[in-house]
Amino acid sequence: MTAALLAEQLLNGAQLGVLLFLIAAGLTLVFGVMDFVNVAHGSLYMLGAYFAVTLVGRTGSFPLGVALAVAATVVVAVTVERLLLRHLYRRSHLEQVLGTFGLVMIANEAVRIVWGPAGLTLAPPHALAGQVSLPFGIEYPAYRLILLVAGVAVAVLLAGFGRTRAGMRIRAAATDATTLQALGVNVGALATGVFALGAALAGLAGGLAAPIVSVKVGMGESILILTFVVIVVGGVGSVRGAFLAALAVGLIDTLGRAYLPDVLRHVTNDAAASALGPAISAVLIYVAMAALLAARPQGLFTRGQ
Amino acid sequence: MSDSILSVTGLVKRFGGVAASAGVDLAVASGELHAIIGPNGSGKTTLLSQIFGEVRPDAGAITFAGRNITGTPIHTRVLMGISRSYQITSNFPYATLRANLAFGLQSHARVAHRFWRRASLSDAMQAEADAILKQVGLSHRADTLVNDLAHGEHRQLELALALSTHPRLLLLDEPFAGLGAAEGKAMVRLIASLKGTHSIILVEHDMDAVFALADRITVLAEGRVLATGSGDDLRTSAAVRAAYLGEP
Amino acid sequence: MSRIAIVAALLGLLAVAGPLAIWGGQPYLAFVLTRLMLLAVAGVGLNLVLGYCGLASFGHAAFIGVGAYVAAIAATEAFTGSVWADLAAATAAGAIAAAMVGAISLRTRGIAFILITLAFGQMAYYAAISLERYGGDDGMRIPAAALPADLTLYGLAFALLAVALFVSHQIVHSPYGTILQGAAANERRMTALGIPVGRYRLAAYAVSGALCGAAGALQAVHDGYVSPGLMAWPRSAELVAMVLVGGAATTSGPLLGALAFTALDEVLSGWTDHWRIAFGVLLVAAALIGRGGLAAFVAGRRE
Repeated sequence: MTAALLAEQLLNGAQLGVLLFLIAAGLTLVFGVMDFVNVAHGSLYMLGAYFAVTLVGRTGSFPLGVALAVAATVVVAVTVERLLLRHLYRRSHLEQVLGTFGLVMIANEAVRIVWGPAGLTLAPPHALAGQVSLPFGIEYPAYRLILLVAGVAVAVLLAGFGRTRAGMRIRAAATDATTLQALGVNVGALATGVFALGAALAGLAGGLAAPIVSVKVGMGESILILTFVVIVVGGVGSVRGAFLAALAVGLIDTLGRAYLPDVLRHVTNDAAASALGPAISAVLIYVAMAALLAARPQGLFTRGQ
Repeated sequence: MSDSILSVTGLVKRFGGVAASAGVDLAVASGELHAIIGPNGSGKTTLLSQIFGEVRPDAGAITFAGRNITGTPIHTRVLMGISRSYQITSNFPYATLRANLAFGLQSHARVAHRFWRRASLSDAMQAEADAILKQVGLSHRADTLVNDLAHGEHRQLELALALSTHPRLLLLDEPFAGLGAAEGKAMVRLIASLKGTHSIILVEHDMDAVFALADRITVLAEGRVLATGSGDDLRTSAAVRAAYLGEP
Repeated sequence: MSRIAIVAALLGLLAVAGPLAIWGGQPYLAFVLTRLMLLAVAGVGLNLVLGYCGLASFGHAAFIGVGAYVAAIAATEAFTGSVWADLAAATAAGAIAAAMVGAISLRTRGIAFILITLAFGQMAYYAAISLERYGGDDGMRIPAAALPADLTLYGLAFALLAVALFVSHQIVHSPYGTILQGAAANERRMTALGIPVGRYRLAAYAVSGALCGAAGALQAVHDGYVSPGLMAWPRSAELVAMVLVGGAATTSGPLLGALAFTALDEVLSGWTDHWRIAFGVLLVAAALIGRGGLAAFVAGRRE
C-alpha cells in the first residue's frame, strides 16, 4: 500500500465522483423542480456515449464529436420531453416510473438496432493517450486527469449559473415547487429548460466516459442507481449536495474496493472473513447510505420538516 | 397547579433563525376551555403541534395528567387521551363518515392491528359512531362519502374525528375557519356542549367565539406568552391591546 | 363481473390447465403457467405495499432473489433435504430482508423512498455477484436430483398463489388493512388517530417480502438455476409495471397483470427479436392512458 498507489486510487475515486455528479446534477433538479421521477436519465448517458463513438469517428475530432454528441442528446431529450414526458408531470410517481421505464426499454432496443448488440470502444484523443507525471512520482493517465478537471470545471460553471437570475429561480423551484407558480414563471418552458440542461450534462458524461468504459446497452442502468444514491444522500433538489455526495460516493466506492479486502485480511486470518471482503466492499456504499439515512432521512443538504 | 391536566414549561422551538416558541409556559386546568389567541405567526399552531407530538420542542417540558410526555410518540399520546383537529380539514375523502370514524374508534378500542377478521364495526362501536355523529349534527350524513360534504360539514366532521379517540384533552385548531354566521353559532353551541366533559385548548381568530366560550385566554405574540386571564381581564389590558390589537 | 369472480374463474382455469397440459404432452405450457403463477404471487406481495399502502417500492426483485438464493443454496448444500423446509427458510429470509430494508426506507417519503428502495435492490444484486462460492456473476445451477417433478412444482405454485391471494384478501379487508389504505390517503390524520403508521407499514412490508421470497424459492426450483440477474433493478420495475397494468390495490390486479405480461412475453418474443421495443411502447401508453389497470377494465367500472 504505497502512497503513490493511494494517490492514484484517490484520483480514480474523484474521477468517478465527477462523472456521477454530471449525471446527478441535472437529475436532482428534474426531481426537485418538476417532482418528476425519471428513470430514463441513464439512457441519456448511454445515448451520449453512443453518439460520441459515432460522431468522433465521423468528424475525426474528439472535442467536436463530443460537443455534437451532447447536442444530439439534448435534441432527443427535448423531443421526448415535449411529446411525452410533460403529460406525466402531474401524474403519480408510479405512473412516471412506469412511463420512463418504458422509455428505457425503447432506448435500449433502439440502440441495439442502430449500433448492434456488441459493445463499442472509443479511443481517447491522441494527445491525451499517454500518462502524465504528477508530483510525488505519481503516473496517471492523461485522459482521466482531463476528465477530472472537466468535471470540476462544469461544477464551477453550474455554481456560477446558480447565482444568475434563471439559476436562482430554478433553485427556488427545486426546494419548493409552489414558489414556481407564485413567481409567475412559465412552468412549461422552465421544465423543458431544466430537462435540456440535465440531458446536456448526462450526454456530456456519456461522451467523456466513452473512452474509459465499455460502451454497451444497459450501461445507463447500472450507473443510474449509483446516481440515485448520490441524489438521496445529497438531498433531492440540491446541486451542491449532489456534488459533495458524488465525490463521497466515488471515493468510498473506489477506496472500499481497493483496500477493504486487504484491510480485512490484515485484521483477521479467518478465511471466511477475508472471503467476505469483496462482498462487503461491493455493497459498502449502500451500507453507508443506509447508515446516513437512518440518522438523517432527508439527506445531507436539505432541511427536514 | 395540582389540578391542571396539562402543563407546558419553558417550551422552545426554532425553525432556522425564527423562534416559533420562545419559552412558552401554559397550564390548562381539568375541564377548562383555554383559548389561545395571537396574531398570525405568533406560534399558536406550533404550540398545539408540540403538545400533540407532531413537532419536537428544542427545549422545555410538557406534562399531561402528571406524566412527562415531552418525548412520547403521537400514538401513545392519543391513547393517553389527547386529540386534535386541524385548521385545514384533514380526513379520508373517499370513505363514508362512518368509515372515517371507524379508524379512531378501532384505534381507541385497541383492535386496529387485527389483520384476520373483517373490518366491519361491532354493534357497540356502531352505536358509538352514531352517537358522535349525532353530537356534531351529522347523523343524517353517516353513509355519505366525505368528498360530498359541504365546507361547514367538513368542519363538523373534523371535530367528530377528534372525538373518535375518546380524548380527555381536545386541541382545536381554528374550528371556526371559513364558517358562515349561522354555522359559527352552531359550532359555538357544539363546543360549549363539550365543556366540562373535556378539557379544551382552542386556537382561534374569531374573537366573538373565543369570548363566548373561553374560561381563560392566553395571548401569544412572537412565540411568547403576553398575558393570561379571563376575557374581561384581557379586554382591559393595555399591553395586550398594544401588541395584539395594534393600538398605541 | 366482480373481482372475486374473476380471481375464482382464473384459479379454476389454472387448476385444470396445468395437469391437462402435463398429461397431454404439453410440458412447455405447464412451464409457462407455473412461471405465470409465481410472477402473480410476487405481484400479490408487491401489491400489498404498492397498491394498498400506496408506497412506490422499487426493490422487490431483491426479495425474490433472496428467496431464490436461499432455496438454491439450501438445495445444493442439502442442509435439510426437504423442499418444505427450504421453502420456509426462503420465505422467512424474504420477510427478514424486507423488514431490514423497510426499517430504513420507510423513514423517507416521496421520491427519496423510490430511490432508496431501488438502491437497496441494487445492493442485493451486487452482494449476489460477489458470492463467488455460489457462481458470482454467472449464477448457480441446482442439482437436478434436488428438483421436484413438474406436476409437484405446478401444484406447489398453484397452492402458493391460492394462499397468497387468500392471505392478501383477508388482510386487506381487516381493520389493519383498511387502516393501511386510510393511511395511504391521509397519513397525518391516521397518525393523529393514534395509529403508529410506520410500524403498520413495516409489518405489511415484511409480509410482502415473505410472499416474494416464497415465489423466488419456487422460481429457483422451477428454473433449476439462479443468477444475480433476478435482482437487477429492471426486474423490480417490471414487477411494478405488471401490478399497475393489472390494477393496483385490487385482488385480481396482480393475477391479470401476470397473465398479460406472460402472454405479451410469449407472443411478442415470437414475432420479433426486438419485441422489447413494443413492450416499452405499451408501458409508455399504459402510463399515459391508464387508470385502474386491467382489473378496472375487466370489471367494467372506472374508479
